[in-house]
Amino acid sequence: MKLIFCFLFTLLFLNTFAQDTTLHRFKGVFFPYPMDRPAKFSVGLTFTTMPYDITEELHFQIPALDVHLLKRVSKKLALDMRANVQVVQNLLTAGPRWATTLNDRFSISIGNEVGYWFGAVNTEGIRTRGHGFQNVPHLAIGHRFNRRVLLTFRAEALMNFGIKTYAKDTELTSDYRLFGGSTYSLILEQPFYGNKVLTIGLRGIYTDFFWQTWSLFETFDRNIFYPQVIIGLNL
Amino acid sequence: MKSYLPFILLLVFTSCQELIDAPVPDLRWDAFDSPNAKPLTATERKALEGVYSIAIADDNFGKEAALKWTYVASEKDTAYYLSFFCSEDVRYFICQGKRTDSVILLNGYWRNVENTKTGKVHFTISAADLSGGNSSAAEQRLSLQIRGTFGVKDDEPEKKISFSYLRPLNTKIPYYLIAHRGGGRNNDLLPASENSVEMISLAAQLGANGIEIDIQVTKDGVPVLFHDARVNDRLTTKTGIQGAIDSYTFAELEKEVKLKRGGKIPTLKEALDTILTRTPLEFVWIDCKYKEAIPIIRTLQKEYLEKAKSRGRKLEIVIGIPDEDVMAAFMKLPDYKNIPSLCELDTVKAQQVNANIWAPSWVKGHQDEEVNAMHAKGKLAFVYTVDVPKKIKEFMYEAKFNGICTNRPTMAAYYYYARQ
Repeated sequence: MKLIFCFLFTLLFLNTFAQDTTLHRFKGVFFPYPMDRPAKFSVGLTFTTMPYDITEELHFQIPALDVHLLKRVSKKLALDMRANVQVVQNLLTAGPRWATTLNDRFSISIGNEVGYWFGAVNTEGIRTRGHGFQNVPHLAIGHRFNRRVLLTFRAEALMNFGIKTYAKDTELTSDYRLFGGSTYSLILEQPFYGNKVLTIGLRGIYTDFFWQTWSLFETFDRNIFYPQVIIGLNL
Repeated sequence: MKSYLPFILLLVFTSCQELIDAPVPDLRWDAFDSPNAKPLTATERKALEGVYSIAIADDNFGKEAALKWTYVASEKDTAYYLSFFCSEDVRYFICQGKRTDSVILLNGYWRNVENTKTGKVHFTISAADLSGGNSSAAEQRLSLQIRGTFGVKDDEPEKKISFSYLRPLNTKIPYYLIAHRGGGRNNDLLPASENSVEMISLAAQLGANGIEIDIQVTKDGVPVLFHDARVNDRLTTKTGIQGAIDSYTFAELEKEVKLKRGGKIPTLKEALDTILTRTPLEFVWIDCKYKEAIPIIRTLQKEYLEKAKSRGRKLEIVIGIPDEDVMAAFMKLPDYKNIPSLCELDTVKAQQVNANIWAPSWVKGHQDEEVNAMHAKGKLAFVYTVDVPKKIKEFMYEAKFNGICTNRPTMAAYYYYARQ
């Protein structure tokens, strides 16, 4: 995993010198900036590494389809909609995002997303299912490099509520902290081929409950670290 | 500087996860370590056991706690530990006791096993209260109070807490309180590695009267306690050894591999020897992860059952049958129907091997009908591995199982010993 991080950060470092055109300007969905177009759309993948604390010897990454739409409401206000899809378990979020520039290079945004996750899998031959809600207030600071490569640092608070998991119709667990943890992301959005923009991001998730692990029924009351890689293409 | 920023962030990003731990605090206490402080007598220890109300607590330890003594024996002497199993938040205390002329001292630590909260505790009890003066034993116990202070991590204990005796421990109907992985998993941040001799020695202090242990086999055919099929960063410190455990001899593992939270990989023989000679544990569930190990496990099971019998020691050792492959290997043993075993498969297969115990997963629910059917045949039923506190209570109070396997044995111990 660390090798992947090293590779991605090296890529990030080198890409700060990449070429671009005016077509790419502020096209990234993560970069906090007033909306200069009706909508921004990105499709990609997230890869979340499940920590040993949760999965024990099964140390693996879970990929998820990541679809992200930013819809202009006014110049500074946008509706941020996102879907994380793994078929057997999915997360849908939506919420407002307000962004403004601080100066020629820096800009910020604040927002709040409300999410609903749901899933169903067979565990030891038993049909288990789960669902729950998230509320995610967030703050992002963006820096535009000389050649319009966009770097975003984003922090989110994770609030989990309404978590219910079942085996057949028997409720298994529902007690988790409301203030479940926080996430910190560093995201690079930079010109790719044509007028596309590539997103490469690293997200550190510190939480006592990560929705993709609902089927493990863990009971920890301490934050566990889930590293996540985000790769996307802004169309 | 700007160019190095990503690399600095990378360093921060990848190093945070190593910081989480819950080490046992420094337990030095001058009054307790004084040469004037003497070990408690068996009578004094026994008088402290019971269910207590938590009268003063500046934190969430719950309303009650069950107090029970256990021990770890060595060749030289025996160390006694008083465990407090609290009703809330999966909290517990583990203390040792001494007495001076006028006062009983209890020195130890507390922990919430679901997170990293821990700290020192110091308790005092009036020796006169414990001896009872002219009052009867029953009257004396009803007035018994344990007063003390607790702290956070290595801070000196300053927050007040006290316990008032309510009633004796429940032990009416035997119940198997089985600690998973020899006592607990590495991710529970206990002061010992899972499936280690040190963890087995700790298990009774955590409330267990039995343990489940996982068996793999080395290249030279030695059964060892190890959960995963491969030597990995989860279970061992980084020594350069990685890969399948059966690709190394036991001598290589013993020389090169250190367990993540201390200790060495033990052989099954060492583990059984520890259980028999050092602990009060009465039940061992040998979870066989490697079907070829069944014959050697059987040999050791037989040897240690005979040793226990010759010492007059109550000890059950069962071979776990987690899947069909192990079941097939088990059924190749001579006279397998008379070998003590535990079957995780369905009740039909449990009866096919004449398992003493049927043990389904908790996600399958109470399964009262199947449990009753096993009871009707004179067999026991356990449920594994229940960790959600309210589910532990539900399975122990509402279902008909005879035992529970858990990573939260302190919680199960409270529900058992405090039951009215």
